[in-house]
Formats: sequence, C-alpha cells, structure tokens
Amino acid sequence: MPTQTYIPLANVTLGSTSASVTFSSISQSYRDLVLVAQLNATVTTSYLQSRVNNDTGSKYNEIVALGTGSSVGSYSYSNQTAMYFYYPGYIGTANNTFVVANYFDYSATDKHKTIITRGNAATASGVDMVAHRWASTSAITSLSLFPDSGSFAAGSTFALYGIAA
Amino acid sequence: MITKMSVSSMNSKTWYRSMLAGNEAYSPGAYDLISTTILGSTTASVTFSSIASTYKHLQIRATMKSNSSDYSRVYAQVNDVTSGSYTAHNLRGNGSSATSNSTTTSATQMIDIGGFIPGTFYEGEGQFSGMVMDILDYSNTSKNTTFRSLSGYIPSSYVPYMFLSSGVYLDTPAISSITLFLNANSFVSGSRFSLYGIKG
Repeated sequence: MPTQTYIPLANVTLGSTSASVTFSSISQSYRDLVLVAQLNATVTTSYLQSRVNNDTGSKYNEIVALGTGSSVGSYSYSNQTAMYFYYPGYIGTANNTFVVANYFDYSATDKHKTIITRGNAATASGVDMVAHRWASTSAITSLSLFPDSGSFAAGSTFALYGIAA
Repeated sequence: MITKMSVSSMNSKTWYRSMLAGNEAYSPGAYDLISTTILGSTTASVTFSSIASTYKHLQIRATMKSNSSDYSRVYAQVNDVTSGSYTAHNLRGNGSSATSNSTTTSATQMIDIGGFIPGTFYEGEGQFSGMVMDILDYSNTSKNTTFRSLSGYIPSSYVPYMFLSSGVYLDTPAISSITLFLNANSFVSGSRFSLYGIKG
C-alpha cells in the first residue's frame, strides 16, 4: 500500500505583526520538507530572509535566476549569513509575496543541504528561482523566516509539510 | 432473529448513530510515496517501472551527483522509447547570465529535463543537486505527456546552475516507466530518487 505523504507539520497565520516566524523541533522522520508562505511586511523596503538551525554563520550560498517583466538575470552569492527567498524586489506591504521552499534530505548528516525556492509577487517585482546551499552536514531541526527590516504583517501565512521518506 | 443493530462504545457504553462512533472520519491523502531509490553504488541510470495508472499526476524528487570531473546533464526517456519522440526547453541561470535553450523537435530524449548536477570536483562538499519534476496527466491516452522540472545546485567554487525545464513526450500512450540518465558518466552512491503519485 503506498505511503501517504505531504504531511502538514505546522500552520501559522499571523494575528498580529511578527518580527519572524520559526518552525522548531522539526521531526527527523521525513525525506524532504516543503515550506509554503504568502506574506506582506510592515515596511515597503524589506527583503525576505531565512536561516536554518538559527545558524548566523557565513554558510549560505545561492544561485538566482529571475525575471522582472522587462529583463532576466542570474546572480550568485557565497558565504552569506542568511538566505534570501525572494530576489526580484522587496516583500512589499500589499504584494502578497508567495514563496515555496523545498528542503532536500534535510535530516541527512553526510551532505550539505540543498534548498530550492520559487518566489513571485504578481503586483510587484517579478519571479525568481533560487538554489541555496547551507554549508553544513547537520540535520535541519529548525527554520526561520524574517524580513531584514520591519516585521511580517498580520495575515501572513506559513505552512510546513513533511514529505515521506 | 436480529431486528436491531446498534453501535456502542465498549468503554463508555455510549450509543452512536454513526459507525464512526465518535471518531474522526479517515481522509486518505492525495499524495502517495510510490517508491524511493537511494543508490549504493555508481549507476548509469535510474528507472521507475510498472507505474500504476491510478494517479492523476506524478512527481519525482531527487538529489543527484555524478562521477564526472565537473558536471553532468540529466536526461529522461519514458516507456523505454529511444526514438525521436521528445522535445524540451529550459530557462537557466549560471550566476552570471540567464539563458534559454531548447532541443529540436523529435529528439531521442528530453535533454536537460533534470538540469545539471555536480560531479566529483565537489567531492569534499557533500554537494548534491535538488530537483522536483512534475509529470502531468501521465496516464491520459488522449494527450501528449508534459514534464516540468525545477533543479539546481551552488558549489563553493566552479559554476553554479539553476534550471526551470519543460519537456514533452510526443505520443499519447500512458506513461508506465520513466528513466533518468546522464549525457555522460553515472550517478554516484548517495543519489536519491523518489516517485510520488498525486490523486485526482
């Protein structure tokens, strides 16, 4: 009998503004994780950032390909202290920026962690796809999202799913 | 002669009109893990075969690495069809520029449908690519089958890659097998391939 998967692990809808959202004590019994978020910020000039295991070290590397509606581009960044989950522009206060993040083999302890994200904000800056690498072989036990300025607005939603092994 | 059948909790002797007896209804999920393969040795290709036609869509999730010295390209075929029955397109970025490529129509495989994956150059990093591939309406015999894939990796040195790929099998038989392979070299041990069925 097939194994059911795509298990909802946590669901957060902000009733008020929040400086960050963290999923902690993540079960290690899944193969991958999927994070789905739709959010706004309290200021117009904030970018969406993320960390795993509260690691503030210079361990985050990214390659981006994006389109803004008038141009396309690709960029790479190394040894950053956080991941950026939406590169084309600011989160915005009313853009309903939408991101999906796939964390592959998140509980493995013999490989760096590869995370693939897709982001878009229809009323604003564009679409992007990003491959991230967290340069650590530690299992991911927590992940957090935060704007680099201001806070998440009330009504922002965040859902975490476990994909069966 | 039984004239009445009632449901009763054994513990509380509570009577229920529903056979659920106070329990929540079971709601089967729509997303099933069909199989996972984790390579224990170097392997030239990975095939999901005898795929049941009972789902609406399929999804392959994979983490991959090759024994190439730099990188390898991930191709796919279905139903063991090796003739000119495929085409594919991609939008890719390499950290410097974004480009788009396509195969000629009627190619012998879906080229770059899984993007590029790192080779042994990155051996010390434990670096694998990540890929999510959706196969849409795979069992529908009135349409060609469409593939969509998001994949990428970022090494500490050398060129990174991010791919959004699409492909099509230019025939209408239901998909019963999918094979992933490389343009050259092989997948290495630790590479993982998981097939999921999505109900419709």
